[in-house]
Amino acid sequence: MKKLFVFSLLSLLIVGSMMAITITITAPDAQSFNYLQSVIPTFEQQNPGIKVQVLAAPSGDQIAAEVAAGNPPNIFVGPVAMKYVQDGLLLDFTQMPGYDQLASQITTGIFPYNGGVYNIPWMLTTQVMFYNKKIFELAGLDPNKPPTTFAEYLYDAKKISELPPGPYGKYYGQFFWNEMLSYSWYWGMLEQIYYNFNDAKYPHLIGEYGLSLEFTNPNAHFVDFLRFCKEAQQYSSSGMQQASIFGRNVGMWLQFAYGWTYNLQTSTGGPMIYGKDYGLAPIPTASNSATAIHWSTLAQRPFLVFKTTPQADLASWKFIQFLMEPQNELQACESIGWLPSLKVNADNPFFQRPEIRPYIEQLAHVVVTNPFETSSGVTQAVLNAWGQYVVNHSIPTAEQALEIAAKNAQAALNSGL
Amino acid sequence: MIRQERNERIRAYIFLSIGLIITLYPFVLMVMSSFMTPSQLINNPSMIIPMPFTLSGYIGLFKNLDVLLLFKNTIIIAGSVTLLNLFFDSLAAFALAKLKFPGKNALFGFMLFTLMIPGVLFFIPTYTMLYNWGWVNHYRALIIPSFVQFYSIFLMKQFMEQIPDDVIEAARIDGASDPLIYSRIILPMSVPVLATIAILTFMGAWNDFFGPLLYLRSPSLWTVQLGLQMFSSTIPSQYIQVLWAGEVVITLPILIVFLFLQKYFIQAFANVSFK
Amino acid sequence: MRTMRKFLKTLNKSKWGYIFVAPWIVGFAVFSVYPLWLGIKMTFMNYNLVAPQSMKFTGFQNWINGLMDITFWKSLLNILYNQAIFIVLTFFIALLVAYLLFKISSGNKFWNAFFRSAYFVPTITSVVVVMLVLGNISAPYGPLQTILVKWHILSQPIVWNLTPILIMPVIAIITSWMSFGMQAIILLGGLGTIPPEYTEAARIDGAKERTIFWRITFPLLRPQIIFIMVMNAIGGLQMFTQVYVNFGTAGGPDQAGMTPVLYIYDQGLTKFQMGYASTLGFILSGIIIIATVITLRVLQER
Repeated sequence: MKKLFVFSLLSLLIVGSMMAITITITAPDAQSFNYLQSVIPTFEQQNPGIKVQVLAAPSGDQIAAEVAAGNPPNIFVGPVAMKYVQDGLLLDFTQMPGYDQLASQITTGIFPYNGGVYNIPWMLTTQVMFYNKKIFELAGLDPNKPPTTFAEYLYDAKKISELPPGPYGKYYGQFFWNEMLSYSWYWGMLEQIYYNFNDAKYPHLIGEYGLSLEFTNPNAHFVDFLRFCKEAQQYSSSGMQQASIFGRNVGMWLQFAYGWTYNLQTSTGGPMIYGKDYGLAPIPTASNSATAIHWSTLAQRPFLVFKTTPQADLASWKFIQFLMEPQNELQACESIGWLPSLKVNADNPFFQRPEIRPYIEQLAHVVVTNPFETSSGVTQAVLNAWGQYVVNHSIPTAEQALEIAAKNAQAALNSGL
Repeated sequence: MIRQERNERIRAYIFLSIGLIITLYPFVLMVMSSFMTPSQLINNPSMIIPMPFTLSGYIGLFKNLDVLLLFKNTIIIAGSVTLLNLFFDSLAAFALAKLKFPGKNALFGFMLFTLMIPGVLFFIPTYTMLYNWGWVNHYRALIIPSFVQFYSIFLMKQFMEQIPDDVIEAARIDGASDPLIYSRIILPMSVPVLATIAILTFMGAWNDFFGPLLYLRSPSLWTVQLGLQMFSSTIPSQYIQVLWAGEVVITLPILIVFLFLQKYFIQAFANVSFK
Repeated sequence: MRTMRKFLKTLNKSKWGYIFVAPWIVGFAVFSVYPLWLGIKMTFMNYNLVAPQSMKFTGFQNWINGLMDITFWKSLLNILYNQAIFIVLTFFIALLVAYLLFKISSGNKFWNAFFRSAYFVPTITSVVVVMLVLGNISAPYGPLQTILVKWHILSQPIVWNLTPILIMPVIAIITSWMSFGMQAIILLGGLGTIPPEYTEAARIDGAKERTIFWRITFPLLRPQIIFIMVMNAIGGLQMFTQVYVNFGTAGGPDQAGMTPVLYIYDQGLTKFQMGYASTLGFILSGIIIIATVITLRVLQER
């Protein structure tokens, strides 16, 4: 550790005095691209030896090509395949100077793997339940009492679905975004429901080391989860065409990040206003105890560093440290529209606004989703069985759906995926 | 006789007009969507008339992007690829269709074989190679490797085979060399297929997204497809109307190129006269 | 001496042929020989793309595994199912459109240009837009299924991308929509080269329009048909984008949307098993060669 520190210092001196080094960072979307462009001059002024170039994010196969050619981006924002961690291609941040200090300031989101840390959480988001107060009133429900258990959720959804059509079309109790069912990331929008059925004791589909299936454990209550979804689906439209969630005819749905509130500005019939038109509440749970914890997911677009030369690695780390300075992170959250990783920023008035606070509060009870892409075969097997049971009814019972999901997931696991 | 022909033509018009609904619907929807407000796009995706009508997508597009620069870059790439292909492909096609040389059939078979290897396998070694040559972040990485394409050679060859041999033989007796036959006889008679290849090649290069994404790093080199990336967002539908406007602006030049070449299609068909 | 002179004479006679095909050969040598060689070499290796140092010689293991890979053969069956529908559907639509467009080519110039362009539009609309719009149209409560339900053709709306048996037919129809314009243009080009005297003579003899088309015009389109069918055999079996856009690398429910190239992509670029992916690639090439040879045999010897 000490040796490394001396080495780092030495290389820092070399970098500073001898030659300018150019590092690259990928931006996953337009906002982050513009944000990164805007702060680079300040960074380059503070670090005369380092130049930073922002790149449009390459696709997954392109990263593979760049890695194979020895030309990967230095800093990659967003998930890459777990394989890169396993093959030792990513920088272990615990080896970098000042890591412990940075880690102590971060609320949540660090995902240790095999004794190392390969992600610095950035662009955080979590999910809470969105409900339409106006529709609750119409259905004779208390607009200030959103459901806290899944049973209540189904009751409320049923009530709303029984309403006669209104000015925005037929009313739907709730919404699943089933158009996305063929993508494995869609599991990230359903898993919160699943592990709230087992108090987050079995939050993942496969065990920690990726060796065995976890959702097949009877205590994971996967069957209950399936049954719930099937009933809830009865109160949903089959797609965005009938019921747009911002079209004022859907009662409840789970909603990621406050960045989405942008869409509320363009809702049918004018902007939807927090407290008046809609409310936010924690995701329901299976338990009706008042002290039950309402779990949710922590998703992120972390900083990852592909190891190249010690100088470039150090320069990349310095840029990450710069981006994680409180005022920079705050500015990033404001302009990109995500939740802060730093404790000090969570207390900022910007995040204490009523329509954002529920998200910040949820950060206390989150399951950190693996920030690396893994085993899409297992996820896909589960989603397919889910779709065939819940949406398509081609699998008749929940037990059979679990059986089929387990069988296909095990096959995917065995094939080394 | 003439009356029968007219009746047939009218019938053809009727059938073709019905078919238009199927071919044009997505395109019309795309153009209409570019004039819609985000609210309508999200909430009424199957409604086709913009209500209210807005230009905000186009305004957003031209305000945030140097559209002219993007167009210039894309035209340089797509234009070069097209011109190189028209020349080199037609030469090879002429040789394969009309000239005799030992090993011709074997060569053609081998060319066909190269199309049968899934391109996925070439993807990574090619990138490694071009990177080692220092071609990343240069247009040549997108232009040179595709300067001649067998697909087009094959199509042209099929077309040129229909040109009667006696026309060529007659020229040869008059003392014309093969290059002269190529430029004086083959090219003029191949205008329909050249026009087809031109539009297809241009379109392929124009619509290419992953190639530029991989090879062009500096924003000053970006193509239109990469430029639109600037409106991608992790918040769905944030720039939805700009994206629709962008799709229209990107598709329009291709349509114009096609309409322009369209004229040559007709002329060419009228001029091709075989004895 | 004599043979040498003869050889030089042949060479001199055929020099332009060689010069004209030289650019392709040079292009191939520069850009494809190395990747191809690497690909062949890799089929005998256990080659992890991002950890090349762990490369191991494994003999014919990849080939044996590949030939016994159930998923690979299933993906091949899927694509054959898809192509059977796609090829027939697209060809006949394209033929009809080309025929109709040719009929009007002697008429009004403006409408001629208009219809030709209009039927070419699907070919130049970007895949993203096509998928988005056609996805909307084919959705369970989209306009198409609503009509089918109303006419009692369907008893209830169907989620096609969750119904394994329907996945390949629907993708075939979408692909068909995207590529019939291209085939129609090629066939139209062919129709334009047929000397009008041929058909006029038959017409004067009192032959029916349908007979003229199938007996005279259609056989003369053979070069275009060969091109289209060979391209179908080569390109169709390598279909990738449509399934990748819809199902990612997992291939949809019961892997009903898995195609050989999607599987190769998955093995090579998501699991980084480049040696194995390469082997599957060459097995697929072998299958494509067989398909192409059959296509050529059937079409050329008639």
